[in-house]
Amino acid sequence: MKKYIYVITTVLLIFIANSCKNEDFLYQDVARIRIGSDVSLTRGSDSISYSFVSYNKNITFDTIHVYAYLIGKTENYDREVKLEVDVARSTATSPHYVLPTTYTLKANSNVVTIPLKINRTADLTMKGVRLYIKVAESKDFKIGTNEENHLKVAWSDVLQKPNNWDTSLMEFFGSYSLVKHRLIIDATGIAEFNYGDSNGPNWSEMTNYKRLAVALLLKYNSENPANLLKDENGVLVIF
Amino acid sequence: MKIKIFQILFFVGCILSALNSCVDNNINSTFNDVTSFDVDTAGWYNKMRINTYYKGDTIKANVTLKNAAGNENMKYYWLIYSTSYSQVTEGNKLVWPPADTLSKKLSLVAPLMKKPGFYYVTLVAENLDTKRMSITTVPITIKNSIESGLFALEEINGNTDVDIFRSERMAMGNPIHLKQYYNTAFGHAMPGKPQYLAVSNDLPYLYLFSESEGGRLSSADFSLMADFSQLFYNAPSNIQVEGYLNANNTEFLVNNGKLYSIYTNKANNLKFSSPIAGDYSMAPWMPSQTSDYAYIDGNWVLLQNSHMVVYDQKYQRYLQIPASNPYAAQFSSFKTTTADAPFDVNNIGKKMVYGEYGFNSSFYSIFENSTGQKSLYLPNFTTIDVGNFSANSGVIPMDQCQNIANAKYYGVCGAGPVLVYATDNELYAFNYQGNGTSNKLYSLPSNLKFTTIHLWRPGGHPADSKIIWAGVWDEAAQKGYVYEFEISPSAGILDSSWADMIGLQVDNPAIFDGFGKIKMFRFKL
Repeated sequence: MKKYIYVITTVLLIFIANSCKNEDFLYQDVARIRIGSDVSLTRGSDSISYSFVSYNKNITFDTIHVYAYLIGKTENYDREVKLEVDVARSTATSPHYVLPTTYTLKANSNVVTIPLKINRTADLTMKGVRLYIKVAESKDFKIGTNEENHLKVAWSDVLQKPNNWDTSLMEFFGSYSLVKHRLIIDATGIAEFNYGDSNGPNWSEMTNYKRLAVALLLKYNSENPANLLKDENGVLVIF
Repeated sequence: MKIKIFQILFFVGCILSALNSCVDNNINSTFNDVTSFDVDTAGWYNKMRINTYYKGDTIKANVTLKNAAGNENMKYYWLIYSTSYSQVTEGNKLVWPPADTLSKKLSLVAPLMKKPGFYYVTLVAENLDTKRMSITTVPITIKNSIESGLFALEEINGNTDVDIFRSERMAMGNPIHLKQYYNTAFGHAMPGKPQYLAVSNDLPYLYLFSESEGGRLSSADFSLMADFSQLFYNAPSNIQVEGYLNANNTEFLVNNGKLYSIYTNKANNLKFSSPIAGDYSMAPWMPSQTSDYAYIDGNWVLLQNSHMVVYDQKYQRYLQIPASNPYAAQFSSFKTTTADAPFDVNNIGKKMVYGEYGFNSSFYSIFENSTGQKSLYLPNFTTIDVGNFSANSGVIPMDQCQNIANAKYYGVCGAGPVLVYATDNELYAFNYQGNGTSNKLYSLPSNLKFTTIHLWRPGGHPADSKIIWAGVWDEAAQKGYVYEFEISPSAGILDSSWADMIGLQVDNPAIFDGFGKIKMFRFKL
């Protein structure tokens, strides 16, 4: 008989245990923020490398979107997101960028876009700068995961002589100078020409680029007859 | 019996004489029995002459010999050579190039792989025994378009189309008149009034533009190869095509006073590069030849100073793309003109109203000064630059030419010192080596007007510089005509010698109807 009681009790306990309702899994931690940017810029990493070189000289700034993502539940009220710059890990200073460090995550939303404005200052033609942005604790949010609690942005405007200038491009553009290279970029929108590669421009296309550059040079010189375009060595730019 | 010596000698002498006479008789008999032969031209000669061929076509001739019997040991060869057959440079010498051999059989079956143009095909038949030869020559035309002939750019009901026309006087195949060929190909005319028709006999396409659209068309079937925007790496904002020339391995296109180019001997996408840079506004005319051979120090030397020469209307001067830098991105001036030169190519100071390469290697340039006076300049740009391009002559006044102030259309001879011009109603010829005046060739009735003229310069054709076609328009009846004139390029008068020579009974001018309002003519092989 004892035997039967133990068996029945065990079976009953099993039924009781299985009859308990399962509760949903809920985020139990405090609300946090992680940051990132466009995958086309980060390529899945925590870094962005940007160059102004290919842009016409009239382009003086650009904007990189920093996305602050919510880790946790949405709420029906606005909350404060804070970012800060790690100065020790940065070389960019205030003329180089504008970054609002406090932003609002709107009610019922889980991401906010923070614009990082990077400026094309003159010193960038000599040397690039970098900016280390990280999540800061705010009254509403703690810092998120280590892998995504920061974003590194580097930018420059440093021109470099293309490797194939002497072998392939001299036929069209003549001898190299930084000023001439900048002129070509302003005229064509292209910094490097893979002429000679199977998927590169052909001779006729290169001739077209040359004519665009020459047209721009002549225009500049006609508008500045007393100050014809010279390169960094003081030599007149010719093609 | 003694046989006397003299009897022996006599006997031997008789035998020898008999032998000699027999030999003599055999030779005489052989000579008298040779049968002359000739090539029978029936059935193939005229057919070959009036046919036109595409490059790659097979040319055939089923030929027989007259008096074939007795002419068995024969050799045959068919040759083909250009009608403008001339010497070419080989090393330091000028030599006659060998003609190409099409076949070595009596009957001909051979592919024609020559580029489009006018050629002679010659059959040489030789009896190897007698060394007698028979030579038969027939002219043929190799074309590269749907039809070769005169392409007339015309306005039909405010839109653009092309008629293709060939007359008997052209002696290049059966006469034809294909009307509104663009409509035939596309089902409708090209929208917009006609603007420009550009052709080259070396290329398998042409360019057709109205005021609102246009592009590159295959000359085989008029199919569209590229529209206006696709013709350029950086297309201009407006269609304003004014001139075209294919020369020196370069297609030159003038749009809104700017010069665009495709270098056909370089890798390209059949797109025109951005225009030659600089502050200029180009006249639409360019010389089709900027080089020539000269015999210097015992050698034939090719002289070429310029890859191309243009006239800048804005600063009223000639400019060049130098031959030493044919891919230059901007124009260059010429050397400083010498003090004894009758005119300064770097500073003409007048507006060009017409230009065309012509007689004596001159770039005929008709200028108009600020008071409307016209004059003819004849610079020769086929020589090297020594500061004086006016070796042919100085400035030739045209103010004594009849009605020159109203001249609208021009044509230049290559075979003589004559240019022609037309006003609204009258056609004139001016011989610049004459007395300074022009002579009237023709007057239209008052209800008709000239809309264009074209002096035929096909190069290598025996009628070169002898035929003028004029577009004529009857505004009241809304009907268009082609008037075909034949002139003497040396005398500058109406002259039907060519038509007479080829056995034609045609008027001068001959009048053809069934056209729209013709804006320009272009000849296409």
